[in-house]
Amino acid sequence: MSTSLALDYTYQYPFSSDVVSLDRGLGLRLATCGAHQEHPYFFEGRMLYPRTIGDMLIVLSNVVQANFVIPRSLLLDPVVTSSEDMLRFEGFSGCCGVYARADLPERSFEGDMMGRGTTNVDFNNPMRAALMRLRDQDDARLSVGAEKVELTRNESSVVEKKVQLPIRWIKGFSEVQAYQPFLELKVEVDGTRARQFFRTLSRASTAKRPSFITQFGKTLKISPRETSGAVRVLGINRLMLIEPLLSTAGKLRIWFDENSGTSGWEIHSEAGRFFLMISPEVYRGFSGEGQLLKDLAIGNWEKALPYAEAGLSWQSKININDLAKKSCQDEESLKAALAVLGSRGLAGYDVSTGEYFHRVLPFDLEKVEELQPRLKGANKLLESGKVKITEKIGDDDYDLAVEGTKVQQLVRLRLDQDKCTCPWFSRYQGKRGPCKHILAARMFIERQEEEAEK
Amino acid sequence: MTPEELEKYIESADAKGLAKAVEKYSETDRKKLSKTAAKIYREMREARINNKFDSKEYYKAFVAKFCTSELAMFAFCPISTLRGNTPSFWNYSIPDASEEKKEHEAHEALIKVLDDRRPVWVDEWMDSCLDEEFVSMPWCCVRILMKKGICKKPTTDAYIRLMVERLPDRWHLEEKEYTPASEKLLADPELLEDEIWRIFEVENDCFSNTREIPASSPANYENWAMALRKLSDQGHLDRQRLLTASLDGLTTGFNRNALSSFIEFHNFMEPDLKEMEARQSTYLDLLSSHAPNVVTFALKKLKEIDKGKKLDDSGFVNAVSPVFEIQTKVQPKNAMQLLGKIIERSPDLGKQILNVICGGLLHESAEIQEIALKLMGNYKNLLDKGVLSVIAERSEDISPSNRNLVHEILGGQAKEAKKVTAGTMTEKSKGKGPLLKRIDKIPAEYKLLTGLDKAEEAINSRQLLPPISFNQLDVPFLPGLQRIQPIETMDELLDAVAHAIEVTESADEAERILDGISRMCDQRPADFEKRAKVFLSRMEEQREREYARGFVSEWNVGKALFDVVHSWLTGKRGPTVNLKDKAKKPLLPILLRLDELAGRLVKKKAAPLLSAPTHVHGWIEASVLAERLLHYQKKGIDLPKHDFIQALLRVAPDRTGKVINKCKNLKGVAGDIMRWLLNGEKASIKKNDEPFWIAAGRARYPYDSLDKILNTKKGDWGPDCLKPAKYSWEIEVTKTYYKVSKETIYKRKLECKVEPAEITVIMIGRVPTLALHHPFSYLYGSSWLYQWISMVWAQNMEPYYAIGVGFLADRIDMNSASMEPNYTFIEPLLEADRPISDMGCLALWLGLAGQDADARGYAMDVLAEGIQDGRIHPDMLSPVLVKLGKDDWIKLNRVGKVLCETAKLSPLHSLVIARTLEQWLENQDELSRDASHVLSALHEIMIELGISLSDKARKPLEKVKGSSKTAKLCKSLLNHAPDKPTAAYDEALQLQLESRIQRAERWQNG
Repeated sequence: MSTSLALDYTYQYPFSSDVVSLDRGLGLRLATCGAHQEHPYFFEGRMLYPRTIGDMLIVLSNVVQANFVIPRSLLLDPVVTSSEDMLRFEGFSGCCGVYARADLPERSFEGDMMGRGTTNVDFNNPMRAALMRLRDQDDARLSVGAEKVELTRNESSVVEKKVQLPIRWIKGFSEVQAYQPFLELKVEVDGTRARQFFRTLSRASTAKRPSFITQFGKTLKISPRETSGAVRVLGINRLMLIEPLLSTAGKLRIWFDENSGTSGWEIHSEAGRFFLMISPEVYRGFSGEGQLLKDLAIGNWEKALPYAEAGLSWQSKININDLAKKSCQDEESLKAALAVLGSRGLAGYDVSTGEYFHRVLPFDLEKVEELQPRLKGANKLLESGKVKITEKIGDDDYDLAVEGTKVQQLVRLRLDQDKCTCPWFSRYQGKRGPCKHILAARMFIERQEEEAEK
Repeated sequence: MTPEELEKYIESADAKGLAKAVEKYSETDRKKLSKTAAKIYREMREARINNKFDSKEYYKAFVAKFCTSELAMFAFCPISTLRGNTPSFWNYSIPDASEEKKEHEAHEALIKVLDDRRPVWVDEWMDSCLDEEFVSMPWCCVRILMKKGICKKPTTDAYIRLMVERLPDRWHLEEKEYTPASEKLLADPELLEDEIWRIFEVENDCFSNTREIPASSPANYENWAMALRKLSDQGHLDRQRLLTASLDGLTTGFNRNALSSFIEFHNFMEPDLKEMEARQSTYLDLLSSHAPNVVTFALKKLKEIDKGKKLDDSGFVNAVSPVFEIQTKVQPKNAMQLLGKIIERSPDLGKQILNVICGGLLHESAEIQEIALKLMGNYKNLLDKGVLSVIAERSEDISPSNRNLVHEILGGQAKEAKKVTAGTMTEKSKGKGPLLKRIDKIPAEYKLLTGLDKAEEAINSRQLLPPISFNQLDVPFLPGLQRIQPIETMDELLDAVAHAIEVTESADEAERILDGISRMCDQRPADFEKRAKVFLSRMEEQREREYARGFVSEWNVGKALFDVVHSWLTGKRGPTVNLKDKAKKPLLPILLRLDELAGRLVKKKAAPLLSAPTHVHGWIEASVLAERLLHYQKKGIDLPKHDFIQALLRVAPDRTGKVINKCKNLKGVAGDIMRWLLNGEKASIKKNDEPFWIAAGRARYPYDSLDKILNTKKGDWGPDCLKPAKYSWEIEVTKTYYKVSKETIYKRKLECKVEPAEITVIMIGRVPTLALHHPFSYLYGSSWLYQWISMVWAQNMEPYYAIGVGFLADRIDMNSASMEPNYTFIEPLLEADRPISDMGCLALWLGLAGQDADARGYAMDVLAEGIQDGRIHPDMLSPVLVKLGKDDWIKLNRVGKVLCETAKLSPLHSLVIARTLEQWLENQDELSRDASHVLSALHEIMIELGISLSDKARKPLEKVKGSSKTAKLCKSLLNHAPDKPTAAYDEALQLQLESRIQRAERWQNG
């Protein structure tokens, strides 16, 4: 019996995304569908690099269709965000371990941004076939949405896709933003070296152990041994998703966060950028990591949150400095608030610019935060009075006992690092966020301090 | 109905009665019994899991009741309880499935229940059942429910996959029982309208192996492709639509198998020229596919169209450029052939074609580059400035064998390639003079060990230095190794144990923890009891896990470790380890050591672990061991026998006065042995102390016979006891004739033998070096366990490599496996101061030539670093390759690929690989067909370095005739006669010299 939490969701498109013959060349029409079944019209323009853009969108579609854990497709569509000078297509794999984004700047088109916002876009097989057909010499236009679309029920052109969006998928899609600010640029090579490197990767067999990638002169070297500054990758086959983009790549940049083990692979081409982010392990999606759990539980973001949220107006780059000046909030709190907004699907992060951008994932995200399993578990422990202080050490350090399922877990709250005796913490040692016992303990102490202040 | 009545229906397995009884029930009525039904079902499910079912009858009776309880769920419960729950009886009660005719009335009863109830959730339930990982829902039942209007047609792809899998009858049925798929489809004609077409929209591989008809299949057997073609021939399905649909399927992002399946179907339909011509634009579009098999297919079809003189030349030229981005050669080669034809008949397209062909210059295959360059050379007059500048730009990346073609086209504009150098060439090493000055300053013993005594000779003759030859115990290797930081506080120890119970990171960490426990076993901080309780609970959980990666488990040494931790935490011994278990014999010394430790822990006698390594790879600093022994002496703790033996096998030699002085104060056998180990005089040996002396002997003289050294006249207990082990290996070929298929199958196996062959089993527990030679019945485990075995005898890794050779050879054609981390057998070869022995070299080659990506990764690192640091030389690599290559035991394509990658690292790597292959050729009578894989690498390197083959190496090449790829390469190699070596060759020699000097200087500086 299935136990995974999922939300029923219906993609309802006024027409099926397709390619139509225009007076001059081809017209690629992407059908849109927002969170409330609206059908925005965002963009209309001529593609200056049709083949590269087509490849980027096919790869994005491959990411969305991919599932590296169970070979099953969830039929989820990518989302597109239209902002003042950028079209960003985002997708997330069914296994929740691969995130992809195609950033297409204004310079890739001759056309107009008609509106601002985020919407789902219909990606179907005929559409993929059409994208595959694009060549650089084609006169090809792209439209995201269409003018004056009115959806009539029972109309034959209406496309309805009913899916169950797993909560972990939505959660992962939103939480993936939390990792990006911590990524550091480790490697940068030109397109030729990137292609040479990908050719050395084995397709026939996949390593069970992590591989470590380092820059070696102008080239890239892969080794099973960890060295300082190396990018750790498990599940190299996931990287193969971007291989088709290397033929037009000007450069490849690899980003890595040593703490989380997440890596980002960014391909620059004339048409724009393609960013692929992979989770530390094949069987670990982004949803279960809980990078923001501590912040969500006891963060310093709450005060800054309304200001950060009010400052969102579909910018492709959110300037924290400006926002801080306008809102009289400090930059750190605003950054934390933006991270929280990111986890709620209201902002994305662009490693290349080092700045957040505004976008609203077109799903009902209200329940997602509540459904963070560890946060939920921590609240349950608190509500049922299963947390007690055993010892106070100094001003800020505490030892607590938290009743677990079978045994009492011992939590030590320390300024340098919190610790717990539970298997989760013992296994990951804080690398995948705090366990529910630590969260409960932290929340318990915070509540006590608040009460004492009153 | 009351809950009791419901129970009665279930108890009597009366499914039909139950269905009848609730036929008129409203949802409100059903809700009242929902909880009871769910409760009974849950209880029965648990009973099914926990029950052992003594008799078949009892089991059948139980199943009938269980099925009725499932039916009750469908009669009363809401969707939240039922989501994803396919009734289990559907697994064996498929009404029209011919292979299993066990009718069960619960099946009909369920359809009746759903028909009467008409629940609003039935579509959602159906989708959730179909989306399960393993779908047990029968196809016919889905159709019955749909036809009765109980549910709508499922929207999920799994519905189509279910049809694809379950609609056709099993092929092994008898003809009278078998209904061909086409008949089944005609019997359910709605399927022809929609479902059949969706086959091409859903990822599946139903058309795979279309032309293969399984043996013993009925005469009217039909697979999917046969059925659809038959229906189209009969006019039930539109042939043109089928052809188009199969092509549409190729534009999806489906996996390779699914795409191949659609290709097979399209080919099976045998489109004629007219049909292909009508689809020409689609074939052209498919050239942009990211799937190589789709591109191959499209090119094949376009070639057929071209044969019929209907190819759209201009369209092909416009569409073909993505083909050159494919890594494999076949597609670019085919495309280039077609372009060659087009340029001949349509010269007006010439410029455009040459522009497109530039893409071929970026291909990694020298062959593709060559075809592209030759085509360009043939139409030089059509090359415009743009193309010429692209060639110039890419000339740096063009393979050495094609550079002359580039020069022919460009003249002086070509850029010379510069290889990224892995070696470290320092400024002071440039030129002969400074190098010789540095060599002069090196002591004679290190010159001899590094081969630098022959440096001048090598420099003058412009040849590689001879192989490096040293014994690890003769050089100061310890300073180069990372020191292990002992656990210092109880808090640190508890945290380390907590983590190790879940995941043990390495054997070093396991030893660190054992040492921590050993030293702190008498400490009991305030919260110790509470924390111990948590640990014990988690340890029990871990033991129940089949594949526990942590410290404690039921496997291998896990139970003994459990005993150690349990003894420490509770003061009472843990579970008993069966030391007589034959499978555990090779691990017996480790188990005995742990048993000994657990015994001391319950007595709370804290002391350092004698055998705890002070450095990585299991080494113990001699002075630290002396200090530990003094501690035991001071505290009056008995010498732990097994711990001491293990410690001796890990001692790093240190004969400095400081250590010898420390040992002077050691009394008893420990003192006698330590002094002898550090070059002192041997004391008389008491009978009971023999195992200590053997261990000390193996530590001091790992490769020699101890008979005379220990003055013992004992018999031969086995390898590496008194006599050193001697290894030999062969590729053995066995021939088996299979009567049914009338085939003779040759199996090749690597057989490794060790002498003395006999092992005295009773000595295994006392002599760990002997235990290493006892064959393992199995060795599944995490990498740290394998590493732990490698640390049994730090002074000599040969037995460990020999174990590895067996495991690596057995899995040579298998992928990496988590529970068989064979890469660990190659890992020790990475230590720069550990010479690569015969067994080590064999393990290295098995790693390089194997399919295991983890082992190959390590082996490639060893090869790269070994060449760079001087431990790997062609003279050691080639004999093993020659022997392994006999009877085609290893696949040369794999070997070629790794050698080619390694050669790219530096000129020195290129030279070592070239000489290895040259020596391999010298020992070949004739070359196999797949020799091209290594010859192409050799060819490129020879050109790059400006060297040619020896006369002996040319002989097998001269014998190869014909026009195969191997023959062409042989010809090229034979024709290659450079005037003099290139600058890269001299750089290679200099890099080798520099690396040897660096090694000698490092040893000199201690």
